[in-house]
Amino acid sequence: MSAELGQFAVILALVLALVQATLPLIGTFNGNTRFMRVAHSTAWGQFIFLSLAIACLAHAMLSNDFSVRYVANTSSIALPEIYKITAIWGGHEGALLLWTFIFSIWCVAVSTFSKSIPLDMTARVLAVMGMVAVGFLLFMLLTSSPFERLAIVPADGNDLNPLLQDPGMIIHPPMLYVGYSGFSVAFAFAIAALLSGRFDAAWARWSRPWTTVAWIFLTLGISLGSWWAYHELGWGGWWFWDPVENASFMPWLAGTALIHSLAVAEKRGSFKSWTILLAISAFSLSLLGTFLVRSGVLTSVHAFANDPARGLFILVFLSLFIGGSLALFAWRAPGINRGSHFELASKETALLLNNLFLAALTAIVLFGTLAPLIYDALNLGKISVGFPWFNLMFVFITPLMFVLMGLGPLIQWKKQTGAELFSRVKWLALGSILLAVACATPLFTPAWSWLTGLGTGLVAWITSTSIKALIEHTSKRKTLGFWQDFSGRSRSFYGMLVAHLGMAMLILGVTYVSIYDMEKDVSIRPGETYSLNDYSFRFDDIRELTGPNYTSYMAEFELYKNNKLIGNLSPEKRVYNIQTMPMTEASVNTGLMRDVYVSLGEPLGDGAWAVRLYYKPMVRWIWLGSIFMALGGLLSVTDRRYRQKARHTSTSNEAVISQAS
Amino acid sequence: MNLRTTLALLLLTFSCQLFAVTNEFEFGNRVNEQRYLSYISKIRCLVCQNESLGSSRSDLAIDLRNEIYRLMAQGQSNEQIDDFLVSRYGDFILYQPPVKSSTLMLWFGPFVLLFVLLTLLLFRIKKMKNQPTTLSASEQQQARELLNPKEDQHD
Repeated sequence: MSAELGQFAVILALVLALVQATLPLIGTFNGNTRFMRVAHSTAWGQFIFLSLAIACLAHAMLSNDFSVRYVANTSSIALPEIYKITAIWGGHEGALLLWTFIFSIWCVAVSTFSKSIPLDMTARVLAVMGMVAVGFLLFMLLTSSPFERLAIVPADGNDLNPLLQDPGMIIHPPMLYVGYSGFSVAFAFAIAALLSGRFDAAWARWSRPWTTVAWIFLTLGISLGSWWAYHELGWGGWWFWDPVENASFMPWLAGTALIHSLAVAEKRGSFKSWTILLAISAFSLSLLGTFLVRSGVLTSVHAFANDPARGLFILVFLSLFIGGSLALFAWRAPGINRGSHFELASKETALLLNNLFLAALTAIVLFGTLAPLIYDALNLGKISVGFPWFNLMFVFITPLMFVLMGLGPLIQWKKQTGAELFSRVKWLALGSILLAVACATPLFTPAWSWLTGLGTGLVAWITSTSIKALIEHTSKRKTLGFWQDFSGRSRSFYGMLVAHLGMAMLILGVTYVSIYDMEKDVSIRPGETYSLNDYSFRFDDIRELTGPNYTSYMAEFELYKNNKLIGNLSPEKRVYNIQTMPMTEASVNTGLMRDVYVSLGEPLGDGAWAVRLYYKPMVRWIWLGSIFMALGGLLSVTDRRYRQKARHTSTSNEAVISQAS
Repeated sequence: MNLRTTLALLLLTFSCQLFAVTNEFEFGNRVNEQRYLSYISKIRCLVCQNESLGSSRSDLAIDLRNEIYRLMAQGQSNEQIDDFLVSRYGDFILYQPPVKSSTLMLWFGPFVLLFVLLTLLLFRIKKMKNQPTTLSASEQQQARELLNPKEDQHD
């Protein structure tokens, strides 16, 4: 019964979405405020019905209702309950339902926290979001319903893909979807501005906190995915430039550019048309990511052929949305004023260059991801474009951007004399360069490595310039005192510094783990010891375990550093009962400066086991950096200027965050 | 050993997820070992979904790792091994596409794009600089700034 109820709820949500996409918009043309207000009710209505739909799917999952095809495909009787919940988004259909559900939360949030915005603007924004909802709900109902029944009910389900039976997968997809669908708000504001022809600074101020919140979630979502891959896939990698990873990285790059250009649009009234274009791109890439990952087109062109209806719908939907938005942009953009004047040497130029680099990187990732498909389609041969290509592109292009990142906070708006800037940063630049050279030589590091030098130098540069910016800022505001300053309009400034430092931490981690990691494949018997770097691994014992839906071998290792016991490692080799898929559960001894990582292979006979040992210096800094970036975003979005406005009305942006998280 | 597990392990020798018999090689020194590990990480396992030879557990990967180890021990260069692999399996096996006429766009396109964008941007800002600032909108903006000089100093 719950499946039919769920299906019905989705249909009702679609009807409401259709109303939301049309009536309020008509209202803005003929000035009918009742029509415009409808958007608030439809947003809530969709949220309620989609909550019901999710609850129905959860009920079907928890009650092992294998007559529902989706449940039969992604769950099983023995699957632990937490993973039955995870299974809701463990497949294409359910993930789509989760997407629309999270999207409806964003609609309700916009409806609730936009009381200070003119009604006609809110009506347009919600109408655009209604159109997005129509697209997704139609796609779900026509091609990918999670509520479809099976004629013959299987006795047990197919089980959740063992790769997804991991704590990281419980929250990674929802986080990512909150980020993806959150960019729809910035997109909707941009389209609303194009429709109304009003491009004032208020528009940028309205969409800025929404964009930042979406970006925070996307940042955390991507780094969770990276952390999951690191400990679940068992080969110690944290990023492989896989099409699935790239699909989430592209909206992040475009979104990062958008955050920076919104700052200029709000503060200086410049870059408005560019900002609108970026808002359209960030959301278009989110759509591309959502659709293409799940439909499998990116990994194989043949996925389209497997299900032509899905493929066709995606193509039509994407071209209508992206094409329509771009056409509207081309029509309206000439009416946007240029904004205020600035010199070549100015913060505006620095931010424009930041945008240019981020846009170019987005284009490069898109090109690299699609290149194998393009080459195949043009009969230029089958090629692979893998991590060496992406790494090379990023190593050549990002350092310039990071140099700029250090300068950005120190440059003044409108006009900056080069000599003045140079006198402020010359010692920091010299220090960073000297450190870079020192690290590149075998003086401090094991061998010549210009990459170590480059990475360390950039980290030193970003960190020192950020500290310089902080000192200059506080000395200007001496009279205020830190707390008053921090709780006032400067919080977004602190947020920026924290996010930039997060990026520096990430660069540090990426540099050192990429250059100095070690791995060793060994065959080892209980009682034997192997060494890697300063660490010795003693294989104590191995035993059989029975999990809820798998059997496993668990090895016990003692980890010694310079002959001192520092911990125990217990890697597992699991075989899941239904999908009979062997999984490596790596065991990691974590540390701020290094991880030591063991993954267990299979028996080699004679009591010996295949084991892979890894030493991963500073790998934690990658995720620590991401957390700092998210923290920076959080600080920015709680800046007083956003709270202030809201206080006059009912609620605040903080409430948006607390609700969304 | 549990019979079911044994069966599962036996049946899945062809899977990419399974550790097959590891290749235990002797490398004379750390440099050779590093070279080998870095090389196999850049080769694609053809029977897996986007996994490198280094991380794949498939039988094909084991054979190829043996082959690559043997060729390296013979003193062949990375380029020679590349050629050998490409002649057998095509360019698809290399994660780093070779530089040749059909891949020029791939290797140099991004830099051309960046250069063109930079040039366009600089021209645009130069042009803007030469424009007289008599636009009413920007005048308004400037007037507003003159009235509120304290605002917008940071961020």
